[in-house]
Formats: sequence, structure tokens, C-alpha cells
Amino acid sequence: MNVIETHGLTKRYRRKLAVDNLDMTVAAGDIYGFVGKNGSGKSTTMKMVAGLARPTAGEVVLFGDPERGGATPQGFSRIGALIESPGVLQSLTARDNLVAKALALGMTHAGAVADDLLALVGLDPTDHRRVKAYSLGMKQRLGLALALVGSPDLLLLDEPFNGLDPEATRDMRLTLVRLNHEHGVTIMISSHVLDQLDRVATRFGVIADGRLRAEFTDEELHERCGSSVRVRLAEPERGLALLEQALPQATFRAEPDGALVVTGATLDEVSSACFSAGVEVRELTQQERDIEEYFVELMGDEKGRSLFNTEKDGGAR
Amino acid sequence: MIALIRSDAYRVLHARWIWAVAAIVAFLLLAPALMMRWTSMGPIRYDDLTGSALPMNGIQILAAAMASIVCCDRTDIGFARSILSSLGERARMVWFAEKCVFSLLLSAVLIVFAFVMGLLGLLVSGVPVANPEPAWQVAAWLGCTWLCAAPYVALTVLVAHLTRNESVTTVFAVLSAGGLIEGALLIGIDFLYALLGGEFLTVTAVVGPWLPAEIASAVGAGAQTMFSVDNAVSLAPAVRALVVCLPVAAATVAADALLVSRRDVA
Repeated sequence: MNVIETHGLTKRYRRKLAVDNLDMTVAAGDIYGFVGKNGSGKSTTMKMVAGLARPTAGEVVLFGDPERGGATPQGFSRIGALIESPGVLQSLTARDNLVAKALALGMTHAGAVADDLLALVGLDPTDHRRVKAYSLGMKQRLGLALALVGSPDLLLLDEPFNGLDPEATRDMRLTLVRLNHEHGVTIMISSHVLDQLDRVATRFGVIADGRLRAEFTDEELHERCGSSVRVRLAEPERGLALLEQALPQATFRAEPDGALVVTGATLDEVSSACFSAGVEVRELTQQERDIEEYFVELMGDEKGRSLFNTEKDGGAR
Repeated sequence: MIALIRSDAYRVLHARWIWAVAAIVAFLLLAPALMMRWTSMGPIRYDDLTGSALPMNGIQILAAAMASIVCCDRTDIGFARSILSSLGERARMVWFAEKCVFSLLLSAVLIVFAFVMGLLGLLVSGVPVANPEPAWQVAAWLGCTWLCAAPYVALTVLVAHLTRNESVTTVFAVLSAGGLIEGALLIGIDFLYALLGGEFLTVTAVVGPWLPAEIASAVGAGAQTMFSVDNAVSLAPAVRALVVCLPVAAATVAADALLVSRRDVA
């Protein structure tokens, strides 16, 4: 069953088209990595899925139920969301935040629910400090706990790794994987932190300028980002024709400097093919395709590269 | 609705500001009484309870300001986002209505608290009341005081949901409950009327007695004044409060629940 299906989902804010005719599918049990630059439409899409923003056109079908979005008979949705900010009440303790939300959802044992969730995300239920004294990482954990109140079947997390130190990032990642594996929660995560996303996501969607550029599985991603061979030939056009004949299983991509990037063949195979065909080789190197580079490529321009570099340098990982 | 009210009551009771407000109200009502007792200064006796012994002037401003705090807790929109994403489509409407209802309930609690503190202050001061009103009149007066605060409280919640801005909402709460916004609007209309050839202040003379601030002022003068028929409009302030404040508050709650709930949550 698909937990999320969007059909022609569009959102326009005055003159700005934030999301443009987006068709996305998230299946039950997926950890869906939603990748895009700032302003690409990730948060807007998630808000529409969470019912916080109304689509200008198109529709969101949740849990295969176009009418009620799979809501419970009590009228509660099956979604937990952490969008844009942890959304915590700074003047209360972490436990009070959770109790307040649990009470709002009509839960009778709000205190016990709060204690369980605090333990799940690694916060101390007996900590009497107000949330404003918490670090950003602790607030993010509390935000996750708030999203988990009501045992949602779908979790929407917008930049959950932001501001987390390496240890907290790993904890968050492991918590998400545990929720997915042990509790069967479908998770949609938007993030810039691609190496973390790569470690947890089972499927990816890449959004740029409000449009979904690609959707693929984790396996497909690693196939596409496998090693390739860069070869620069004295006669590129003739050489390409000969290599295509010699290596029918391989795919070829021309680079701006005239070099060919060959995927699906080893360095030795390319070397032998060139030698057999009598093509003069000026450069022959093995290269690994970086996942980050691949995403940047999908997002359509080089500006994205600087964004990711900034994220890395800023210690967001 | 009940679950949401319980949740809001929990978060308000666990916040510091509500206790600060309670302490300030208690101080403002008890400190003068203690001063009177210790220094033997002040009135020899009060004529009545509601008109002179227990002034509630300005309680609307405090009630509206509290509504702005309830709806604009600095990161409330994030917390609200978390709750709203867990609520279904219909429950969202209830959430918006509940914010108004809760703020109105909170203003009722404030008025009762101020009344109790006022009574306590009266006992502490030892100043006698010559003609205390019967209990039903005092209760009606408290109800009318709440009714006069209701439009400002509901409008403040509406402004909070429309602007999602704490500063704007708080300024609106204070200015509107202080009667400045309606007064300025009326003067503006009068000015336009005068520009069109009419006599200046004609509109104010006709509409003025029906303004919530004017009604609140008349109710604040005490239960006797509240029930006495005003010569200008031939209706007691209590009736005018029912005719004006109740529909305005109800319409504002309806607008918040039915229209504002359809807006995107930022």
C-alpha cells in the first residue's frame, strides 16, 4: 500500500510557484529521503502532506484513502510531523510539552506516554529544566518525541539532523531506523545532510524548483554512483564508436573536455578495448562517482554544490 | 474540544507568566488595601460594592493581553503545527474555535480571581460598604464585565491567528481593549462625514453608546448603572452588552473557526 501519493500537487504563493505538478509515491515501510536545495519546495510539500497547507491544485492521498486520509474514527490523523522547527514550548519542561500534546489528542495516560517517549529519544523524564535551556540537538529530539505522540503510522521529518553533533546525529538515525523496523513507521525525511540520509533512506526523491526530478531506491542509487572509467582519446568520435562495439554492456557519457566516462566496464576492459581497436589513449583513470555529486547533478545546476559544501563545513553532519 | 481545553489549561498552568499575572493582580488589589489599613488613609466608607469598592476598570485590557500570550507563545506556532498535523481536517476547525473558547474561559477566571482578590482587599482594608448590592446583582455585574471583555478577547485571538505575530497581537490587544481602535475609527468616520458636508461628531453621538468600550465603561460604573436605562439610547448597558458584545464575540469565534482555519499554517 502507498502511504503517500501525490497527484499533480501544486502550490503557488502569489507569484512564486513553490511546488509544481508533483507526483510522488511513498510506500508503506519506506524511509523516504526527500532531497532538494533550500527553497526547492521540500517543506511546502511536507506541509501539504501534513495538511498544514492547502494545495493550489492536485491532491494528496494518504493511506490509500482520498476521503479521510486514513484518519482514525476519533478524527485524529495518522501523521506525526516535525516541520521546519522542533515546535516546542520554551517555557515548559520537555515532559510538560509532551503531556500537553498527549492531552490535546485526548490521551488518558498522558504522563506515562510522555515518559516513554522521552526515554525513546534519549531525554531524561526527570529533567526539570525548561526547554529554553536545552541545546538545539535536545530540542530536535524533543521535536521528534512530540511528532511520535499518538503513535503515528507516518512520520514527516523536515531537516531532523540540523544542529546535531555527530553522536546525536547517529542516535537520531538509529532511533529512526528502529521506529521503521520495529514499529513499522513509514518515514519521510527531508535533509541536506546527504551522507546521513544515504545511511537511513530506502528510497529517494529529488526535488528541484518545485518539480520532482527523480525517484529511485537505495540500490538504484548505489548502482548509479558506482565506479566509472574516464578515458580521453586522440580521436574521440571514432574511439567512441569502436568502444561501443567492443563494450556493448557499458554506457558512455561525454564530458565537456572531450573525455568519455564509461560506466559498466572496468579499467582493464576499457584499456584492452582501446588497445584492440588501435585507438590512441591520452588519459585513462578510474573514478568514483560521489553520491553528493550525483544529487547535485540531478538538481540541475552547480549552485547546489556550494550549498552542500557549506552544510558540511558548518558541521551540520 | 474538551481535550484541547485540558491541554491548554495544562500548558498555561505550567507556564510562569500566568502566576506572574496572578501575583500582579493580587498585589494591585491587596497592596492599596493594606496601605489603607496601616496608614488609616483612604475612604471612610464605600457607597456600594460594584461601583466603588470593587473597581474592574481595565480588566478587559488584561484579559485581551492574556489572550495574546496564550495564542502567541513565542514558538507556539511550531507547537500548534505539531498538534495540527496530528488532527484531522474537521478537528482543525475545532482547534481554532477552542483557542477562542479557552481565552474566553481564561478571562472569566481572571475576572473571578480579581473579584475574589478585591473582596479580600476590602476585608483587609476594613472599609465598610454602605449599601452592598444583592448577590444576584453582583453576579450579573461580573457576567456583564466578562461579556464586555469577550469581543476584545475573541478579536485578539483572531488577530493572533491572522498575523501570527506576537508584537502586533499584543499591541492590538492593548489598543483595542483600551477602546482606542474603535474610538479612532469612529473619529475617522466622523471626519469623513464632515468632509462630505455633515456635522462633525454626529456619527459619534449616534454610534458611540453602542461601542463595546462605551458599554464596558457604563458597566464598570457598577450594577446600579448597569441596569439603569440610559436616556440617550433607552437601553440599559446590560442589554446593550447583550445586544452588541455577545454577537461580536460569537461572530469572531465563528470567523476564526470557519475562515481562518482554512488558511495555511505557516
